[in-house]
Amino acid sequence: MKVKKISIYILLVIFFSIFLSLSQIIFDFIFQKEPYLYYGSFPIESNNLKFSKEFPQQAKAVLSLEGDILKVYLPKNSKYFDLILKDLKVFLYDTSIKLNKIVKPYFIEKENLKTPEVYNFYIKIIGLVFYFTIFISGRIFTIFDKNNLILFMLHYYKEYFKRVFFLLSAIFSFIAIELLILHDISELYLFLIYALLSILLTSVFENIYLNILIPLVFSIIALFFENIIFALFILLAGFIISIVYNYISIFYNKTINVKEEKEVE
Amino acid sequence: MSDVMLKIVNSKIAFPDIEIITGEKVGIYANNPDELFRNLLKIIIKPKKYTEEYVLEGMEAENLSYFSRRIFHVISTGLWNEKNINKLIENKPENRKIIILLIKESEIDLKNIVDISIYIDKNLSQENILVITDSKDFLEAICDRVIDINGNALELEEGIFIKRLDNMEEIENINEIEEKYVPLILKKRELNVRGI
Repeated sequence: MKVKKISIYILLVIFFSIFLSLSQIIFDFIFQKEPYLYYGSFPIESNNLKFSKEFPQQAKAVLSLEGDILKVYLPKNSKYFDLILKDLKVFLYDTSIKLNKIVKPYFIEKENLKTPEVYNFYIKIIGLVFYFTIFISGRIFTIFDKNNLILFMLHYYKEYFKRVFFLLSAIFSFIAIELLILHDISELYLFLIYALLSILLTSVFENIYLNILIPLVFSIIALFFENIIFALFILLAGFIISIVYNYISIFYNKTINVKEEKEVE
Repeated sequence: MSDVMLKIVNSKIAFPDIEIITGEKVGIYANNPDELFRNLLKIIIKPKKYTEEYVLEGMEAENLSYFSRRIFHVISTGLWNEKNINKLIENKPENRKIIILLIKESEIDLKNIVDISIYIDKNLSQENILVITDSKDFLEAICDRVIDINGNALELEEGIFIKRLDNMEEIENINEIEEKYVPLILKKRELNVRGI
């Protein structure tokens, strides 16, 4: 049994690492073709430079040349600065040559400039895969169900904390992989919280339909409601619900009055 | 100091009155062992609420439920999420004095029963064991005394009983067997459950 769990976990780790590396390569490739927008006059031309009449709502980055300063507007909270730095250097170099003076960059994080759809899509895909990976490993090393609560109440603390340790190390190992490959995981906290929430709730209800429905519902919520305070709040609520429900289900079930019924017969 | 290890009398939920003397292996034969096991867990966790008399190691223990839980080593495949019952029995912590075993007939085969029986005879002969099961074979292999869910004693008939393992037929005499090579199991007693 233990061996089976660990082999599923190792498969997950391998799958997850391969997925992350591959998706990053593919994303880099596609993202390169996403054009930069400029407004106002711009001295150079390039395949991935596009003119915009007014300041755009959504772009990888917006460039505007004012005197000998190249203003680079980046969407707030975008994490791809390293990826576009090379292109920006080329632009700076070309402009400097063309104008025959040294042009300096000036980076501005713009509040109401949105990141391109490709980037949003990429983050969501990674988030979803991360979500289901955490969910599956949480189901393998489950600690939130009724049986574990009974073990805890029967003072099997060593066994219980061993299981907690397994679960935590599984979760942290996936976070570590994420950190190693992507270097930044701040977009993924939300998915982590919702994954924990679905682990909690699916361990409570032993109904197979609910156990399929709950992770799906929360994955959709994770995709569209990006409020982390709200997520933390329902995680806390889920935690309390799971403990109370488990505790109640130990003591109150349908069989409680069987003896009296038998005596009546 | 009495040598009563565990005594549960007049439970308010479906559970037979039971008394285990030190070193005794008692079995409860139940058609629905899961339910009985759940009720036993309730009694262990909250004895005061679910039973009238609750004695552990000769002491009234209704009010000591928090500490007295430590005395039980509770084994069921569902509870531990582990299919290997032998392993769960072998992992018994030293300070837990009463083993409670939930076994369902569907979870265990004769080979397992033989292993467990031998292990208990060898290593746990001084231990107190309470078995809740719907498996006749398991009760025959482990227990000194068997009761049904109403607390009535069931008879363990002594004798020599031989059973063929290939078709599960009882055999009166070994000479009856005509085949050359047949697996057998030898039982020293048989549980008489015709009364139920």
